Formats: sequence, structure tokens, C-alpha cells
Amino acid sequence: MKKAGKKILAVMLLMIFVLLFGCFVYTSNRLTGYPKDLTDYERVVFTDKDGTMVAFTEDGAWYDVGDEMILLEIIDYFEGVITMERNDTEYRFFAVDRDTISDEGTNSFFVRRSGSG
Amino acid sequence: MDKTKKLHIVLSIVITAVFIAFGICFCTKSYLRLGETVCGFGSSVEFYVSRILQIENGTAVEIEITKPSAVLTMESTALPETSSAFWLKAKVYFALLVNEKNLGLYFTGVGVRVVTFIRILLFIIPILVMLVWLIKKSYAMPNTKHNKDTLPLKAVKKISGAIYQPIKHLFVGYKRFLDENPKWKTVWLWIWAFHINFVSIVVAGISYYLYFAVSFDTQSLYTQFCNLVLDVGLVLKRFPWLLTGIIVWTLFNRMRERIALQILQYHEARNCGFIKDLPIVTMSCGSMGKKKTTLTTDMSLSQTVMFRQEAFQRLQKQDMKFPFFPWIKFEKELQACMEYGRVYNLASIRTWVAQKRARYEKHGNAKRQLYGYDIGRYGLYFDSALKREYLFDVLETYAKLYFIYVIESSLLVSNYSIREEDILYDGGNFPMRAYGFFSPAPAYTRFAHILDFDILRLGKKVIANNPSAGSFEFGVVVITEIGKERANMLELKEIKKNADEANQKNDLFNAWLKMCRHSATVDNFPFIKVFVDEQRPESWGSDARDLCDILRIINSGKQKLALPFYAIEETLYDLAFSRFISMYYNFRYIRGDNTLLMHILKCLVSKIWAHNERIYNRFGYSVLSIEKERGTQDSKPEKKRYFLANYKIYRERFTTDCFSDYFNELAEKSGVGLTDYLDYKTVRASVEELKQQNSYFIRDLYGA
Repeated sequence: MKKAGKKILAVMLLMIFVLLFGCFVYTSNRLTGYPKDLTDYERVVFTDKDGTMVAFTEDGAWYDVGDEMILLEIIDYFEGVITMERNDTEYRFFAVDRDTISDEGTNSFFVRRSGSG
Repeated sequence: MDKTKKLHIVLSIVITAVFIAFGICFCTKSYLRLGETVCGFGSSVEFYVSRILQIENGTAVEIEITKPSAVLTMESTALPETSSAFWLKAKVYFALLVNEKNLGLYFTGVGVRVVTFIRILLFIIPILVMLVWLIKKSYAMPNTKHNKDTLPLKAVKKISGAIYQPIKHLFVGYKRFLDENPKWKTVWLWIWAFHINFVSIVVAGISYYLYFAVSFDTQSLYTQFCNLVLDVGLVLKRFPWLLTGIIVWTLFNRMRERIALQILQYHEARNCGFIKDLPIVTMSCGSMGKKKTTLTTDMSLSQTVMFRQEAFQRLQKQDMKFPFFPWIKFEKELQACMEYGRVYNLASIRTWVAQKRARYEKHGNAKRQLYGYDIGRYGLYFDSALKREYLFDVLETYAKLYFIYVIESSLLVSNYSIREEDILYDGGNFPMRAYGFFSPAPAYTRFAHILDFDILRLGKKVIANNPSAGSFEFGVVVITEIGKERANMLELKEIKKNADEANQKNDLFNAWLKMCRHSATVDNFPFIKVFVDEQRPESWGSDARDLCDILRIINSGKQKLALPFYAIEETLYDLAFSRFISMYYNFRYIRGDNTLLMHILKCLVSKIWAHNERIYNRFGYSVLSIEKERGTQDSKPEKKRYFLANYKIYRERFTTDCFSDYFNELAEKSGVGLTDYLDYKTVRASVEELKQQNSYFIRDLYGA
């Protein structure tokens, strides 16, 4: 009985291991799916789960910082890293894929709002 | 040169050519990268030397060595070019891992695949059921065509005989050829080391080490990390997943086998600690089948190794007392004396060294007796703070320890056969001994010495003028069933001490047991141990038994496995074996012929079975639960554990039926077997049947 329990546990552990490994691979694959340039994001609105908004324009993005919407200027885009600036303050976002971006500062994810872009 | 060897050489040349052609066609990037790393190595050496010699011209070199590879582009990996982008990505990666949307997307993907799998399974199951039903139906026809092959099997055997068997023979023969000529394997290993970019990785590693050692440029570490990922990625991308999987599986197996060996060696070390705590005489007790002889044998094998190791360690200490003494010359003379029979035991060593000392003290010739040892410079005495030791006393101890360490003879003296296999490697200088209970069996093997009990008797001997009497000095004495040999006081009641013949009361065996350490002590350490076993301690007389520690085996434990991560393979084995074996014997009950399906299944299952069997034989062990108590039996027993490794103790070490030949002879002479014994006619025995028992009780009842 003890041996059977051990075997069941081993199978369960293997399944967990495979699922975890799969999750790691899946997530790392997602990180390689960033767009080649930012034209995909033009006129696209992203929102996070709290409703905070990032709206891309042709050369910048409106970012909801709580009290107000500020206009950030895109200064660089390289390997998925979007570097934006306003009043010498740098904002870095990471383009996970066509529909998701992440803010380095707040560590939150923004998802493409349906119907935008 | 025979035809087969020629074929093997041609085959090797062809394989080498194929490997080289493969490299030219598919591994060009590896060689371009190698060129790049070699250039980098040159500039690194230049930079290293210039910095060491403080020639300030290394700026150009710094740029060369720290920049990303020009051959392998970063676009092929997910790695960013800068370390800041890497940390940002890493941050996003770990945030994504626990992001609910990401997990949702992942599990949706998993769900889709599971559903697809279930759909395929649902499609296949009826076909499988139908197939099994058809096979069962076709195999349900009983026959008694013993060992006759069915037509499909005959056809397969014929095709296999024409195609598979010759190829298999060729491979087996070729493998033997490669084992005998390892240079081919070395050449291929080098070729592949270049192909798979391994050489580039090593060269780049050394180059960067040289650069980093003098620059301490931590900022360039990330680029090197990227280059390493690119180098490894080049290999992984080049090979198909199946091949990579096989390589990973092989490496995983090696890793877990190494872990298993470490576990077994740890157990052995614990056993040695346990044995070290035991007194000179130890008695193992337990009812039949409790593995008491196995325990005794295992302990004696470990003890012989411990004696050799102890001798070696003490030898090193003697060496340090006179560090400039030409020990090698002394050892060589001692070895020569051993070969010519001048030195054959510890007592003869004492005499030999005493003669040497007398000659030296008479003639003062240090060149001859002390091999040119400079007495004036290094002295004749060693002050240990306890006493001043004279060189010749140290030489005597050294010689005795060396003798125990090097003698090419078993240290075991036993009343049943035990096999051991430690090897002395002698390259003409100081010999080294290899023990390894868990390494593959070496070609050399030796057996324990036959125990002539007269050598352990200080009083009367069974053979009056036994030439071996008094010769035993050191070693491991192993006696199974000691009670039958020595008996206890009750059993010896009728035996007289003043009898003319040797018996247990006048042979002074117990006196030897009490004094045996005197002959075996070298450098204050007794090189003697006596292991005995019996079913119950009381079977051996208390005079001798009181000297020893008693190990009672409470439980001989279940089989365990030191190999980690084997549970899933074992589950598959259990499943395959149990399913097959019931089906197979059901089939054998119905049919006597050989069918194709059963042939294939048996071939597969036997391979799985053999794999599992080998794993358990190599890495299996059991734990004996032992209660250790004093021979006087007036102490509280201590609970102990002893580890029995299958690979150590069951590799033809001894036979559990060591006295079976006695019974075999009796049984063969009798000419009667179990089937010849009379049976009872009904459930109640008749008077005649009772009388046929030749029982004392029944004879008393009937007054016979």
C-alpha cells in the first residue's frame, strides 16, 4: 500500500513537473513575441485590471498616472523595450506581445482594450 | 590481419569520413566561431601578458574580447543584447509566470491538447478492444504442439535470421573492436567536440578567464553569458529533439547513478563506524533466514578493507617520523624478502629488522643497512613528546604495517568460503590498493583462507603436530554456527578436560580468544577481529560469549533502492510485468506452441524485467534492525541499523547454504525422495501410520 502511494505520488509529481516546465517554456516563448516596431500599437489603448490606461499615439503615449493623463514621448524601442520620457523622467514598458505590455515601474500588465487599434 | 578486422577498420574510416563530411556540411558556424574564439584567445593572451608586464596597450584588446560574437547573432535567441534589458525581461518573465491571464492562456492551451488526446484515445480504444478480442479468440484454441513455431513466427525468425541477426553480430563485433581499439572513439570524440562547438566554448572560457583575471571587468560578464548561451544554442538547434532527449536522458541517468553510489558509499561509511565500535569478538544472532551469516560476511569484508586502510594511515605517520629516510629502498628490500620467503609473518619481520639493527650497530654502515640515509643530518631518533623513538623501532613498525597493507592474500580466515576482490596496483614504486565494493567487478578475485581450527588452539590440537599451529597472527576470523563447533556447558558436560584427544575443554581456544590481540598488535592497534554467528547466544559457552558483543537481528528489512527518481519506471515495469505474466501463463496453460505475438511481448517484457533486476542488484539495499548488547547479557540492548547493499554482499560473496554439500551427499546416498514418503490414508492417522513416525513419544505410548 505504501509502495502504491509512493508510485501515485511519483506520477503526480511528474505531472506537476511537466506542467511547470511547460509553463516556464510557454512564458519564455511569449517574451520573444514582441512586435518588430511600434506601428502595431499606434492608436491602441491598453488597460490593466484596475482600469489604468495607456493609449499610444504615433510618437508617444497617454499614460494615466492617477490624478491626470500625461503624454509620454517615445524615445527608443529595442527588443520589446519601449523607453518613454517626460520631464527627464524615464518610463520603461515591455511589449510582451501584440496584445500585452508591462510597466517596469508598477510591474502591472496592460491588455489591449477590445475594439481599439 | 583477418577479414573481420579489415572490415572493422574500413568501417571506422567510413564513419570518420562521414563525421567530417557532416561537420563540413552542417557545422560551418561552429568552425567560424572557433576561428573567432581562437583570435580572441590570442588577443586575451596578449592583453594578459601586457597587463602582467604593465605594458599599457590593452585598450584595443578589451573591445575585441568583450564584444558579442559576430558569427552567432543574438537575433536567434530570446536574450537581449544589454544587461539592463535582460533584467527588465527577467522581471517581466517572473511577473508573467504568476500572472493570472498568462496562466489562464497556458492552461487553455493545455486543455486543448488534453481534449485532442482524449479524442484520439476515444477513437483508438474500440479498435484496441476489438484487436485484443480477436487475438484472445484466435489464441483460445488449445493445442499441445510443444515448442512448435506458428507460421508468422517462423517467417519473422527467417527474416530476422537473414537481416537482423547479421547486423546485430556486426554491431556486437564492431563494439568489441572499438573497446579493444579506443583510439577511434577518441578521434570521434574530438571531431564531435569541434562540431558541437565544445572546443569553442572551452577556448572562449579560457580567453575570458585570462582577460578577467587582469581586468576585473564585471560589466563584460553579461556579454560572455550571452556568448555562452549562443554557443550552447548552436548545438541544441543543430540536433533533433530526439537525439537531444537521448543525450539528456543519458546524462540524467549518470547523475542519478552517481547519487545512488554516493548513498551506498555513505551507508558503507556508517557500517564501518558501527564495526569500529565493536570489540574484537562479535556474535551475530537471529533465527533462520534473518541474514545473520550475511551480516557476518558483510562486516568481515568491510573489516578487511578497514585493516588495510588503517595500516596505510599508520604507515604514513611512521613515514613522517623520519621524512628523509629512503623508504622506497626499505620497501623494495622488504618486498624482496617477502618474495624469497625470508619474511612471511609479523614475527619474521621483527627478526629481520633486529638483524639489520645488529648489523648496523656492529659495522655502522648506514649506506648498506640504511640505504645511504644521512644520519648526521637527519638523526636516528624521533621525539614524539611521549618518548624518543629509535629509527630501527620505527622501521620495524613500518615494515609490519607495510606487510599488512601489501600482502596479496586475503585477510579472511573462515570456516566457509568468502570471495573478495581488492586489487593492489603496483607501478614499481609505492603500491596503491583499490577497494571499491560498488565499482564493476575487476578480473582479479580471491577467496578466504580455510580455517584450520588448530591454528586457534593454544592447548591440545586435533592434529598433534600440526605445522600450522601457532601461526595465526592477524586477520579476520569468521566462524559460522559457532555453537555447533564450540557447544555450551550443558552439551560439554560429558567431555573431560584430561582426555587424551583434543576437545573443547582442553584445546584452550577460549584462552586464545582472550589473548589473540597480543600477536596482532602493530603500532598499538590490534589487526584482528573475530566474527561468529549462531541462532541463539546461549548455544556458545559463556566463558567465550562474555568476551563479545551480541548483535541480535530483529528485522532483516525490505528491499530499498538508492537510485532516485525510479518510481515511475518501476510503476511501468510493475504494470508491464504483472499484466504480461498472468496472460503468458494463461496462454501456456492453453497452448504448447510459440506464437509471434507472445514472442514479441516476451522479448520486450524480458528486457524490461532484466533492466529492473539489474537496477535493484546494483542499487538495492536493505536495512537490518539490530539490537546490540554485551555478551554478559546484563545490559540494556542498543538499537542499531546495518545497511546491506546488494551489489556488495550478493555478488557471489558467499553461499547461504555453505554446508549444503554434506546434506547433498546424504540425500543422494539415500536414494529416496519426498514423493517416496508414505501418505496418510485419511484425515485421522491409523495406529500403523503413527508407528511409522519412529517418534519417541509414540514409542513410549506403545511401550516399544
